[in-house]
Amino acid sequence: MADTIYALFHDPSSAERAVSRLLAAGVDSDSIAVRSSEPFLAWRLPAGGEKQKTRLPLYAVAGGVVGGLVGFSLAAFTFRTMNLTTGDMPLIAPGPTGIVTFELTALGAIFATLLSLIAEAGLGRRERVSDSDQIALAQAVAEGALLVCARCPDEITARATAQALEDAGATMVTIKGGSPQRLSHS
Amino acid sequence: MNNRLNDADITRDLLRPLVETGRGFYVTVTLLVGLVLYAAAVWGYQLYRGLGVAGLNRPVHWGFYITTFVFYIGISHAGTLISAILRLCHAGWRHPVTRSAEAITVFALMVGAMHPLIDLGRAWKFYWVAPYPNERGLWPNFRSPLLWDFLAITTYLTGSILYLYIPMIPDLAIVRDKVTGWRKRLYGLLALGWQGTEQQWHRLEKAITLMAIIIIPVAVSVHTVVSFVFAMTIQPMWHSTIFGPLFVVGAIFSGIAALIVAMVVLRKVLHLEPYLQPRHFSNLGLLLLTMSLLWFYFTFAEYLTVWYGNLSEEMANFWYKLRGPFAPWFWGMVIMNCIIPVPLLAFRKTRTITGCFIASVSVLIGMWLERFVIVVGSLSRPRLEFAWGEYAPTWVEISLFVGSIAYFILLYVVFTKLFPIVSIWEFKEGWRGAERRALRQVPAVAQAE
Repeated sequence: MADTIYALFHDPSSAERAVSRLLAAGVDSDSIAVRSSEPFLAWRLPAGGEKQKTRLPLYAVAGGVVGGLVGFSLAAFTFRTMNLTTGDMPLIAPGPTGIVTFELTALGAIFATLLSLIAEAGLGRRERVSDSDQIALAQAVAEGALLVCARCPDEITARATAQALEDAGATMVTIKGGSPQRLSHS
Repeated sequence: MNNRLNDADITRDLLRPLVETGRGFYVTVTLLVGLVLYAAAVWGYQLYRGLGVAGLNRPVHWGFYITTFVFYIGISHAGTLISAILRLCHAGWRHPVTRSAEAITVFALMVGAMHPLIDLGRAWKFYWVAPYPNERGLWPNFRSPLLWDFLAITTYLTGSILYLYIPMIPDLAIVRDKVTGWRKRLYGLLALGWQGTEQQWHRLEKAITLMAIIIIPVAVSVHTVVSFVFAMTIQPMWHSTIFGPLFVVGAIFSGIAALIVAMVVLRKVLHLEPYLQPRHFSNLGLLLLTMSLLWFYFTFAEYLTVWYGNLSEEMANFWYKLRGPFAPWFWGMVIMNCIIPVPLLAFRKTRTITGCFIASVSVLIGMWLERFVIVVGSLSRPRLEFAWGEYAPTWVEISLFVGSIAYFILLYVVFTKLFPIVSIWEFKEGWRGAERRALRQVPAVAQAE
């Protein structure tokens, strides 16, 4: 049965060292997650190539294109509906149409960015946490600690991994699986 | 950076306003709510009696309300635009500044956008400016700059709210994990289940960068479009090609001033001295100085062109402002926007927190006067002499002006009470960055010695 190990660190360099050790020990990078209350991207925590891939810019551009088309259509439809006699002037005035198109392009890109952030970052899911250990870990992260989580295929690997995390400077290591077990709390 | 700080201190200090409520908060809120209720009653009086209770007349059909509207849209440039530019430039000192700036944008837009409704008189007809066909099946005329304004402000407000909210999600998660009861439910809902994984951080930073890139042209467009409301008419001294850039420069100018004033007050009231340091004010003071000189250059260019052109209908307007009944407002504007702030901000010795505060208050008054000179000053002297007229605000307009300021401050105070006004994660990020830079410098210094 798979176990998950939670290890708390109070400084980013220890967490970085711990993750490096886990990777060196053969733990798959997809099985490692780091939680923190501030970004440590600059510290090169191994988020893994796949985790870094994002289509946010693409979605933002797509949202902008859709917004722009809506804006242009709205302005063009309005001008055509009015049955104006314009002489030799264009019926669809370029200035106003351009402004409406520009604003709705931006609005489309803004909404697309928000929605794709929610989708890609897995936000908006309601998770009720009632486990007191989980609450304590979340509070520790809120205080500034880093939580390194690693999924291990069996209990023996989990114990070895937990020991490696403790050696790397974890202040608290917990194994959650069939039976949650607190290993240390310093 | 202050080395005495640590993670726990930073979190505790920046969350203190959310968990501790002093008597000053209740007194301030009561006073502000009282003023807002008074203004609401005055607006009710205007709705009941009609726009005749305001000082608006022919030819001055736009007075205090539109002046104040343009002023608020201007100070709304404090946040989103400045914050976006600083973010994209990776300005290291921006971290404690951005949140308070972005909040100014949202509330200034909300309060500012109310003024055209007040100026409408029959405010319940406001939806006529929305892209929505009326009962005769006619769609609104997109050729009207008023409609462009509606679209630009709506886009900017939406973008600014999201630009304020998205970087706040990690902080909301911190609050969620530290409080209990209804607050936990509220912040849990707002935090959208944020866990702080490296994947989420990566997406968040990407989204913030994208939003910053999108929001800068929108912010510029908003004030350009506001200037088009004037410049697209053939009113003397409105029909000017420089109005777009002048309005954008003026907006950033007044926006920075509003931000400095807000930061000084927050620093004092919320005891944020370790976070909002003199160097932040000095840097913002330098920006304010730059904008003051730019504003003067643009204004000078505008007036010089009019004077050199010597068109009779424009010269009447020109002299009305420079040496006529409007001269006190015009020269007051120049003094407040240039003569007072430039010497204060130009020298390091006077570019202190107090110096920046005095200069900023002066600029805020000066920029309101600038809007007043542009709106009312120009309308008072239209093309034909028989139509010339004067304007004086009534107690109704003054009351609503005071009420709008109270409403803006109230929204800001309540926001500060509910949300961390200094971004916790961004501050820590900057703080750690400064520590790392300091560590890197130590061997170099040792070697040099």
